[in-house]
Amino acid sequence: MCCFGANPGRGGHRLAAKAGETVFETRQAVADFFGGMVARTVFCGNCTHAINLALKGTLRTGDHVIISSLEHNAVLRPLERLRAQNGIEYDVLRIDPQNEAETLLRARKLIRPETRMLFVTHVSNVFGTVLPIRMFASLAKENGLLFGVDAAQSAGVFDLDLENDGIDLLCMPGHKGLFGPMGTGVLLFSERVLPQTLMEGGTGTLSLAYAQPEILPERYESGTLNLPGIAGLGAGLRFIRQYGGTQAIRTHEAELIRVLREDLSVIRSIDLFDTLCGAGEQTLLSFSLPDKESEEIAAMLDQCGFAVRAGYHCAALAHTMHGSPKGGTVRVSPSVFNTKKQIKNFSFCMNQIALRKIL
Amino acid sequence: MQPFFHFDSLTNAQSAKHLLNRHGISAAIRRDPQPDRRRGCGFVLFVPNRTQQAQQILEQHGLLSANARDA
Repeated sequence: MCCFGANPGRGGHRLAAKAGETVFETRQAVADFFGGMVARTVFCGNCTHAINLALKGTLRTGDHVIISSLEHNAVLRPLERLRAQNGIEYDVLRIDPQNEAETLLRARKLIRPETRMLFVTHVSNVFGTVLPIRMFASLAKENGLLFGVDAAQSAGVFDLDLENDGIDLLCMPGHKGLFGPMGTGVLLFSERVLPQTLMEGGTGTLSLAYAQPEILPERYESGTLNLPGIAGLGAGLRFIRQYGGTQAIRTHEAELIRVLREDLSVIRSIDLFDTLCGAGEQTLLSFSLPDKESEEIAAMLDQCGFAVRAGYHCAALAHTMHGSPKGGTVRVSPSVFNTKKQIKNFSFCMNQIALRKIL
Repeated sequence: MQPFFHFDSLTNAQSAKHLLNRHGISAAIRRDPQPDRRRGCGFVLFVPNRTQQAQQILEQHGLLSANARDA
Protein backbone atom coordinates (compact mmCIF):
# COMPACT_ATOMS: atom_id res chain seq x y z
CA MET A 1 0.00 0.00 0.00
CA CYS A 2 2.95 2.33 0.63
CA CYS A 3 4.31 1.67 -2.87
CA PHE A 4 1.19 2.09 -4.98
CA GLY A 5 -1.83 2.49 -2.75
CA ALA A 6 -3.65 4.85 -5.10
CA ASN A 7 -6.89 4.66 -7.04
CA PRO A 8 -6.19 2.93 -10.38
CA GLY A 9 -7.41 4.78 -13.46
CA ARG A 10 -8.26 8.00 -11.69
CA GLY A 11 -5.29 10.25 -10.87
CA GLY A 12 -2.41 10.67 -13.30
CA HIS A 13 0.39 10.48 -10.74
CA ARG A 14 2.92 7.69 -10.51
CA LEU A 15 1.18 5.90 -7.66
CA ALA A 16 -2.06 5.74 -9.65
CA ALA A 17 -0.16 4.58 -12.73
CA LYS A 18 1.49 1.79 -10.76
CA ALA A 19 -1.86 0.83 -9.26
CA GLY A 20 -3.40 0.75 -12.74
CA GLU A 21 -0.55 -1.41 -13.99
CA THR A 22 -1.09 -3.87 -11.14
CA VAL A 23 -4.79 -4.17 -11.97
CA PHE A 24 -4.00 -4.69 -15.63
CA GLU A 25 -1.35 -7.34 -14.97
CA THR A 26 -3.77 -9.30 -12.78
CA ARG A 27 -6.57 -8.93 -15.32
CA GLN A 28 -4.26 -10.18 -18.05
CA ALA A 29 -3.14 -13.09 -15.85
CA VAL A 30 -6.75 -14.09 -15.07
CA ALA A 31 -7.75 -13.81 -18.75
CA ASP A 32 -4.78 -15.96 -19.82
CA PHE A 33 -5.44 -18.51 -17.06
CA PHE A 34 -9.05 -19.06 -18.16
CA GLY A 35 -8.75 -18.51 -21.91
CA GLY A 36 -10.67 -15.25 -21.80
CA MET A 37 -10.23 -11.77 -23.22
CA VAL A 38 -8.81 -8.91 -21.14
CA ALA A 39 -11.72 -6.61 -22.02
CA ARG A 40 -14.20 -9.31 -20.98
CA THR A 41 -12.59 -10.09 -17.63
CA VAL A 42 -14.40 -8.14 -14.91
CA PHE A 43 -13.33 -7.81 -11.30
CA CYS A 44 -16.15 -8.30 -8.82
CA GLY A 45 -16.48 -8.27 -5.05
CA ASN A 46 -16.90 -12.05 -4.84
CA CYS A 47 -18.33 -14.98 -6.76
CA THR A 48 -21.89 -14.14 -5.72
CA HIS A 49 -21.47 -10.68 -7.23
CA ALA A 50 -20.16 -12.24 -10.45
CA ILE A 51 -23.13 -14.64 -10.59
CA ASN A 52 -25.60 -11.81 -9.98
CA LEU A 53 -24.02 -9.82 -12.81
CA ALA A 54 -24.10 -12.84 -15.10
CA LEU A 55 -27.75 -13.69 -14.40
CA LYS A 56 -29.37 -10.30 -13.87
CA GLY A 57 -27.27 -8.66 -16.56
CA THR A 58 -28.23 -11.22 -19.18
CA LEU A 59 -31.73 -12.55 -18.52
CA ARG A 60 -34.81 -10.67 -19.66
CA THR A 61 -38.54 -10.97 -19.01
CA GLY A 62 -39.91 -14.15 -20.55
CA ASP A 63 -36.58 -15.98 -20.48
CA HIS A 64 -36.31 -19.49 -19.08
CA VAL A 65 -33.21 -20.89 -17.38
CA ILE A 66 -32.13 -24.40 -16.48
CA ILE A 67 -29.98 -24.85 -13.38
CA SER A 68 -28.66 -27.97 -11.68
CA SER A 69 -29.89 -29.54 -8.46
CA LEU A 70 -26.49 -28.84 -6.90
CA GLU A 71 -26.56 -25.04 -7.15
CA HIS A 72 -25.50 -22.76 -4.34
CA ASN A 73 -27.94 -20.13 -3.07
CA ALA A 74 -25.78 -17.61 -4.98
CA VAL A 75 -27.52 -18.94 -8.09
CA LEU A 76 -30.88 -19.92 -6.64
CA ARG A 77 -31.69 -16.68 -4.84
CA PRO A 78 -30.98 -14.26 -7.69
CA LEU A 79 -33.16 -16.47 -9.88
CA GLU A 80 -35.92 -16.50 -7.26
CA ARG A 81 -35.88 -12.70 -7.30
CA LEU A 82 -35.89 -12.64 -11.09
CA ARG A 83 -38.79 -15.08 -11.07
CA ALA A 84 -40.79 -13.02 -8.59
CA GLN A 85 -40.09 -9.57 -10.02
CA ASN A 86 -39.01 -9.95 -13.62
CA GLY A 87 -41.09 -12.78 -15.05
CA ILE A 88 -38.17 -15.12 -15.54
CA GLU A 89 -38.73 -18.85 -15.09
CA TYR A 90 -36.31 -21.55 -14.14
CA ASP A 91 -36.29 -25.32 -13.89
CA VAL A 92 -34.00 -27.44 -11.75
CA LEU A 93 -32.21 -30.28 -13.49
CA ARG A 94 -31.79 -33.22 -11.14
CA ILE A 95 -28.20 -34.38 -11.51
CA ASP A 96 -27.54 -38.13 -11.47
CA PRO A 97 -23.90 -38.25 -10.36
CA GLN A 98 -23.56 -41.87 -11.46
CA ASN A 99 -25.21 -41.54 -14.84
CA GLU A 100 -24.30 -38.70 -17.22
CA ALA A 101 -26.51 -40.06 -19.98
CA GLU A 102 -29.55 -39.91 -17.69
CA THR A 103 -28.63 -36.37 -16.63
CA LEU A 104 -28.35 -35.34 -20.28
CA LEU A 105 -31.72 -36.91 -21.07
CA ARG A 106 -33.32 -35.01 -18.20
CA ALA A 107 -31.71 -31.77 -19.37
CA ARG A 108 -33.02 -32.19 -22.90
CA LYS A 109 -36.55 -32.64 -21.56
CA LEU A 110 -36.37 -29.32 -19.73
CA ILE A 111 -35.46 -27.23 -22.79
CA ARG A 112 -38.31 -25.06 -24.05
CA PRO A 113 -38.54 -22.56 -26.91
CA GLU A 114 -37.99 -19.69 -24.46
CA THR A 115 -35.00 -21.32 -22.71
CA ARG A 116 -32.15 -18.81 -22.92
CA MET A 117 -29.53 -20.15 -20.59
CA LEU A 118 -28.12 -23.26 -18.96
CA PHE A 119 -26.29 -22.37 -15.75
CA VAL A 120 -24.57 -24.98 -13.60
CA THR A 121 -22.03 -25.26 -10.86
CA HIS A 122 -18.81 -27.01 -11.93
CA VAL A 123 -18.17 -28.70 -8.58
CA SER A 124 -20.79 -29.07 -5.84
CA ASN A 125 -19.77 -27.23 -2.69
CA VAL A 126 -21.62 -29.84 -0.63
CA PHE A 127 -20.72 -33.22 -2.12
CA GLY A 128 -17.76 -32.47 -4.38
CA THR A 129 -19.68 -33.74 -7.40
CA VAL A 130 -17.90 -32.75 -10.61
CA LEU A 131 -20.48 -31.85 -13.22
CA PRO A 132 -19.80 -32.71 -16.89
CA ILE A 133 -19.53 -29.15 -18.12
CA ARG A 134 -18.34 -30.03 -21.61
CA MET A 135 -21.43 -32.19 -22.06
CA PHE A 136 -23.59 -29.29 -20.92
CA ALA A 137 -21.69 -26.87 -23.18
CA SER A 138 -22.42 -29.09 -26.18
CA LEU A 139 -26.09 -29.27 -25.22
CA ALA A 140 -26.22 -25.49 -24.86
CA LYS A 141 -24.52 -24.92 -28.20
CA GLU A 142 -26.77 -27.45 -29.92
CA ASN A 143 -29.84 -25.58 -28.68
CA GLY A 144 -28.56 -22.01 -29.04
CA LEU A 145 -28.43 -21.44 -25.28
CA LEU A 146 -25.98 -19.37 -23.30
CA PHE A 147 -23.91 -21.51 -20.98
CA GLY A 148 -22.91 -20.21 -17.54
CA VAL A 149 -20.69 -21.88 -14.95
CA ASP A 150 -20.29 -21.24 -11.25
CA ALA A 151 -16.64 -22.18 -10.67
CA ALA A 152 -16.63 -21.34 -6.95
CA GLN A 153 -15.14 -24.71 -6.00
CA SER A 154 -13.21 -25.45 -9.17
CA ALA A 155 -11.35 -22.31 -10.32
CA GLY A 156 -7.67 -22.93 -9.73
CA VAL A 157 -8.23 -26.63 -9.01
CA PHE A 158 -9.77 -27.90 -12.25
CA ASP A 159 -8.81 -26.83 -15.75
CA LEU A 160 -11.24 -24.30 -17.16
CA ASP A 161 -11.04 -22.53 -20.48
CA LEU A 162 -13.76 -20.19 -21.69
CA GLU A 163 -13.13 -21.01 -25.35
CA ASN A 164 -12.30 -24.72 -25.21
CA ASP A 165 -15.02 -25.53 -22.67
CA GLY A 166 -17.69 -23.56 -24.55
CA ILE A 167 -18.52 -21.33 -21.60
CA ASP A 168 -20.24 -17.96 -22.06
CA LEU A 169 -20.31 -16.76 -18.46
CA LEU A 170 -17.69 -17.97 -15.99
CA CYS A 171 -18.01 -16.84 -12.36
CA MET A 172 -15.44 -17.40 -9.63
CA PRO A 173 -14.24 -16.18 -6.26
CA GLY A 174 -10.66 -15.03 -5.79
CA HIS A 175 -10.26 -16.33 -2.27
CA LYS A 176 -10.68 -20.08 -2.73
CA GLY A 177 -8.71 -22.05 -5.31
CA LEU A 178 -7.08 -18.94 -6.72
CA PHE A 179 -5.43 -18.11 -3.37
CA GLY A 180 -6.42 -14.45 -3.47
CA PRO A 181 -7.79 -12.42 -0.56
CA MET A 182 -11.43 -12.48 0.47
CA GLY A 183 -13.52 -9.81 -1.21
CA THR A 184 -12.36 -10.64 -4.73
CA GLY A 185 -14.20 -12.32 -7.58
CA VAL A 186 -14.20 -12.42 -11.35
CA LEU A 187 -16.69 -12.71 -14.19
CA LEU A 188 -15.32 -13.70 -17.58
CA PHE A 189 -17.69 -13.69 -20.53
CA SER A 190 -17.52 -14.70 -24.16
CA GLU A 191 -18.17 -12.63 -27.28
CA ARG A 192 -21.63 -14.20 -27.51
CA VAL A 193 -22.93 -12.22 -24.56
CA LEU A 194 -22.81 -8.65 -23.29
CA PRO A 195 -24.44 -8.33 -19.84
CA GLN A 196 -26.13 -5.13 -18.74
CA THR A 197 -24.57 -3.38 -15.77
CA LEU A 198 -25.75 -3.97 -12.20
CA MET A 199 -24.28 -0.68 -11.04
CA GLU A 200 -23.37 2.60 -12.72
CA GLY A 201 -21.06 5.42 -11.70
CA GLY A 202 -17.55 6.74 -12.11
CA THR A 203 -15.19 4.78 -14.31
CA GLY A 204 -12.30 7.24 -14.53
CA THR A 205 -13.03 7.85 -18.20
CA LEU A 206 -15.52 9.84 -20.32
CA SER A 207 -16.36 11.83 -17.22
CA LEU A 208 -18.62 14.30 -19.00
CA ALA A 209 -20.92 11.62 -20.37
CA TYR A 210 -24.16 11.33 -18.42
CA ALA A 211 -24.68 7.74 -19.49
CA GLN A 212 -22.54 4.84 -18.37
CA PRO A 213 -19.66 4.34 -20.84
CA GLU A 214 -19.93 1.19 -22.92
CA ILE A 215 -16.21 0.51 -22.83
CA LEU A 216 -15.21 -2.94 -21.60
CA PRO A 217 -14.37 -3.85 -18.90
CA GLU A 218 -14.69 -0.45 -17.22
CA ARG A 219 -18.46 -0.26 -17.75
CA TYR A 220 -18.89 -3.00 -15.12
CA GLU A 221 -16.40 -1.64 -12.60
CA SER A 222 -17.81 1.67 -11.40
CA GLY A 223 -16.35 2.90 -8.14
CA THR A 224 -12.98 2.27 -6.60
CA LEU A 225 -11.59 -1.19 -7.26
CA ASN A 226 -10.29 -3.45 -4.49
CA LEU A 227 -6.64 -2.84 -5.39
CA PRO A 228 -5.13 -4.76 -2.44
CA GLY A 229 -7.40 -7.69 -3.19
CA ILE A 230 -6.66 -7.66 -6.90
CA ALA A 231 -2.90 -7.46 -6.25
CA GLY A 232 -3.28 -10.43 -3.90
CA LEU A 233 -5.24 -12.32 -6.52
CA GLY A 234 -2.36 -11.76 -8.94
CA ALA A 235 0.02 -13.20 -6.36
CA GLY A 236 -2.33 -16.17 -5.92
CA LEU A 237 -2.18 -16.95 -9.63
CA ARG A 238 1.60 -16.79 -9.55
CA PHE A 239 1.55 -19.23 -6.62
CA ILE A 240 -0.55 -21.71 -8.61
CA ARG A 241 1.92 -21.60 -11.49
CA GLN A 242 4.88 -22.01 -9.11
CA TYR A 243 3.18 -24.98 -7.46
CA GLY A 244 2.84 -26.73 -10.81
CA GLY A 245 -0.60 -25.65 -11.99
CA THR A 246 -4.12 -26.89 -11.41
CA GLN A 247 -3.26 -30.53 -12.13
CA ALA A 248 -0.66 -30.63 -9.33
CA ILE A 249 -3.08 -28.99 -6.89
CA ARG A 250 -5.95 -31.27 -7.86
CA THR A 251 -3.79 -34.37 -7.56
CA HIS A 252 -2.71 -33.40 -4.06
CA GLU A 253 -6.22 -32.54 -2.84
CA ALA A 254 -7.78 -35.64 -4.44
CA GLU A 255 -5.17 -37.86 -2.80
CA LEU A 256 -5.97 -36.36 0.61
CA ILE A 257 -9.67 -37.01 0.03
CA ARG A 258 -8.94 -40.57 -1.10
CA VAL A 259 -7.07 -41.22 2.16
CA LEU A 260 -9.81 -39.55 4.19
CA ARG A 261 -12.56 -41.55 2.50
CA GLU A 262 -10.64 -44.76 3.08
CA ASP A 263 -10.15 -43.95 6.76
CA LEU A 264 -13.70 -42.76 7.43
CA SER A 265 -15.30 -45.65 5.57
CA VAL A 266 -14.13 -48.10 8.27
CA ILE A 267 -15.90 -46.12 11.00
CA ARG A 268 -19.21 -47.95 10.88
CA SER A 269 -21.48 -45.22 12.20
CA ILE A 270 -20.36 -42.59 9.67
CA ASP A 271 -22.50 -41.93 6.61
CA LEU A 272 -20.31 -40.86 3.72
CA PHE A 273 -21.91 -39.01 0.84
CA ASP A 274 -19.37 -40.27 -1.63
CA THR A 275 -21.88 -41.89 -3.99
CA LEU A 276 -22.98 -38.39 -4.90
CA CYS A 277 -19.52 -37.50 -6.13
CA GLY A 278 -19.69 -38.95 -9.61
CA ALA A 279 -16.72 -40.01 -11.67
CA GLY A 280 -14.58 -36.88 -11.40
CA GLU A 281 -11.68 -36.38 -9.05
CA GLN A 282 -13.13 -35.56 -5.66
CA THR A 283 -11.54 -32.67 -3.79
CA LEU A 284 -13.96 -32.42 -0.87
CA LEU A 285 -16.01 -34.88 1.17
CA SER A 286 -19.26 -34.66 3.13
CA PHE A 287 -20.33 -37.00 5.92
CA SER A 288 -22.64 -37.23 8.90
CA LEU A 289 -23.22 -39.25 12.06
CA PRO A 290 -26.78 -40.46 12.66
CA ASP A 291 -26.85 -39.55 16.33
CA LYS A 292 -25.12 -36.15 16.18
CA GLU A 293 -25.94 -32.87 14.51
CA SER A 294 -23.32 -31.82 11.98
CA GLU A 295 -22.76 -28.52 13.80
CA GLU A 296 -22.06 -30.46 16.98
CA ILE A 297 -19.46 -32.60 15.19
CA ALA A 298 -17.86 -29.49 13.70
CA ALA A 299 -17.60 -27.91 17.15
CA MET A 300 -15.86 -31.03 18.46
CA LEU A 301 -13.48 -31.05 15.50
CA ASP A 302 -12.73 -27.40 16.17
CA GLN A 303 -11.66 -28.39 19.68
CA CYS A 304 -9.30 -30.88 18.03
CA GLY A 305 -7.87 -28.14 15.80
CA PHE A 306 -9.77 -28.83 12.58
CA ALA A 307 -11.77 -26.17 10.71
CA VAL A 308 -14.66 -27.72 8.78
CA ARG A 309 -17.97 -26.38 7.50
CA ALA A 310 -21.15 -27.98 8.82
CA GLY A 311 -24.85 -27.51 8.20
CA TYR A 312 -26.47 -26.75 4.87
CA HIS A 313 -23.59 -24.89 3.20
CA CYS A 314 -25.85 -22.18 1.71
CA ALA A 315 -27.04 -24.83 -0.71
CA ALA A 316 -30.75 -25.48 -0.21
CA LEU A 317 -31.19 -27.32 -3.49
CA ALA A 318 -28.28 -29.71 -2.99
CA HIS A 319 -29.44 -30.74 0.47
CA THR A 320 -33.15 -31.00 -0.24
CA MET A 321 -32.88 -32.72 -3.62
CA HIS A 322 -30.11 -35.15 -2.79
CA GLY A 323 -31.34 -36.33 0.58
CA SER A 324 -28.86 -35.19 3.18
CA PRO A 325 -29.93 -35.71 6.81
CA LYS A 326 -31.57 -33.22 9.16
CA GLY A 327 -28.91 -30.78 10.29
CA GLY A 328 -26.97 -31.18 7.06
CA THR A 329 -23.49 -32.60 6.69
CA VAL A 330 -19.92 -32.00 7.77
CA ARG A 331 -17.74 -31.01 4.82
CA VAL A 332 -13.98 -31.47 4.68
CA SER A 333 -12.26 -29.40 2.01
CA PRO A 334 -8.45 -29.71 2.15
CA SER A 335 -6.03 -27.47 0.30
CA VAL A 336 -2.46 -27.79 -0.96
CA PHE A 337 -1.23 -26.75 2.47
CA ASN A 338 -2.74 -29.79 4.17
CA THR A 339 -0.84 -33.06 4.63
CA LYS A 340 -1.63 -36.75 4.88
CA LYS A 341 -0.54 -36.64 8.49
CA GLN A 342 -3.23 -34.06 9.21
CA ILE A 343 -5.79 -36.23 7.43
CA LYS A 344 -4.75 -39.22 9.54
CA ASN A 345 -5.10 -37.13 12.70
CA PHE A 346 -8.49 -35.96 11.52
CA SER A 347 -9.66 -39.53 10.96
CA PHE A 348 -8.40 -40.51 14.41
CA CYS A 349 -10.38 -37.65 16.00
CA MET A 350 -13.50 -38.56 14.03
CA ASN A 351 -13.19 -42.12 15.25
CA GLN A 352 -12.98 -40.86 18.81
CA ILE A 353 -16.04 -38.66 18.26
CA ALA A 354 -17.98 -41.56 16.73
CA LEU A 355 -17.03 -43.76 19.69
CA ARG A 356 -18.11 -40.95 22.03
CA LYS A 357 -14.63 -40.72 23.51
CA ILE A 358 -14.66 -36.98 22.75
CA LEU A 359 -17.71 -35.27 24.20
CA MET B 1 2.01 12.77 -37.01
CA GLN B 2 1.75 13.45 -33.30
CA PRO B 3 3.55 10.91 -31.10
CA PHE B 4 0.51 9.84 -29.10
CA PHE B 5 -2.80 8.02 -29.31
CA HIS B 6 -5.96 8.77 -27.32
CA PHE B 7 -7.83 6.08 -25.43
CA ASP B 8 -11.10 6.33 -23.52
CA SER B 9 -10.28 3.13 -21.67
CA LEU B 10 -7.30 2.67 -19.37
CA THR B 11 -7.45 -1.10 -19.97
CA ASN B 12 -7.27 -0.57 -23.74
CA ALA B 13 -4.39 1.87 -23.34
CA GLN B 14 -2.59 -0.72 -21.22
CA SER B 15 -3.30 -3.48 -23.73
CA ALA B 16 -1.87 -1.22 -26.44
CA LYS B 17 1.20 -0.41 -24.38
CA HIS B 18 1.95 -4.07 -23.68
CA LEU B 19 1.42 -4.96 -27.32
CA LEU B 20 3.87 -2.30 -28.46
CA ASN B 21 6.36 -3.34 -25.80
CA ARG B 22 6.23 -6.89 -27.17
CA HIS B 23 7.20 -5.40 -30.55
CA GLY B 24 10.10 -3.56 -28.94
CA ILE B 25 8.42 -0.17 -29.07
CA SER B 26 8.52 1.95 -25.93
CA ALA B 27 5.25 3.55 -24.86
CA ALA B 28 3.98 5.35 -21.78
CA ILE B 29 0.44 5.98 -20.55
CA ARG B 30 -0.56 9.41 -19.30
CA ARG B 31 -3.82 11.01 -18.33
CA ASP B 32 -5.03 13.01 -21.31
CA PRO B 33 -3.72 16.55 -20.62
CA GLN B 34 -6.44 18.07 -22.79
CA PRO B 35 -9.61 16.11 -22.11
CA ASP B 36 -12.24 16.30 -24.79
CA ARG B 37 -14.79 18.98 -23.77
CA ARG B 38 -17.70 16.78 -24.78
CA ARG B 39 -16.44 13.43 -23.57
CA GLY B 40 -14.27 14.16 -20.55
CA CYS B 41 -11.32 12.29 -19.09
CA GLY B 42 -9.25 9.82 -21.01
CA PHE B 43 -5.72 8.56 -21.52
CA VAL B 44 -2.98 9.03 -24.06
CA LEU B 45 -0.38 6.50 -25.06
CA PHE B 46 2.83 8.40 -25.69
CA VAL B 47 4.97 6.74 -28.35
CA PRO B 48 7.95 9.03 -29.09
CA ASN B 49 9.70 6.67 -31.49
CA ARG B 50 8.45 4.47 -34.35
CA THR B 51 5.04 6.11 -34.04
CA GLN B 52 3.96 5.19 -37.58
CA GLN B 53 4.81 1.53 -37.01
CA ALA B 54 3.04 1.66 -33.66
CA GLN B 55 -0.11 2.93 -35.35
CA GLN B 56 -0.02 0.07 -37.86
CA ILE B 57 0.39 -2.51 -35.10
CA LEU B 58 -2.42 -1.05 -33.02
CA GLU B 59 -4.70 -0.91 -36.06
CA GLN B 60 -3.89 -4.52 -36.95
CA HIS B 61 -5.00 -5.59 -33.47
CA GLY B 62 -8.14 -3.46 -33.47
CA LEU B 63 -6.93 -1.28 -30.66
CA LEU B 64 -7.39 1.98 -32.53
CA SER B 65 -10.98 1.36 -33.53
CA ALA B 66 -13.81 1.34 -31.01
CA ASN B 67 -12.27 2.85 -27.95
CA ALA B 68 -9.36 4.85 -29.21
CA ARG B 69 -9.28 8.25 -30.83
CA ASP B 70 -6.33 8.56 -33.16
CA ALA B 71 -4.27 11.72 -32.72
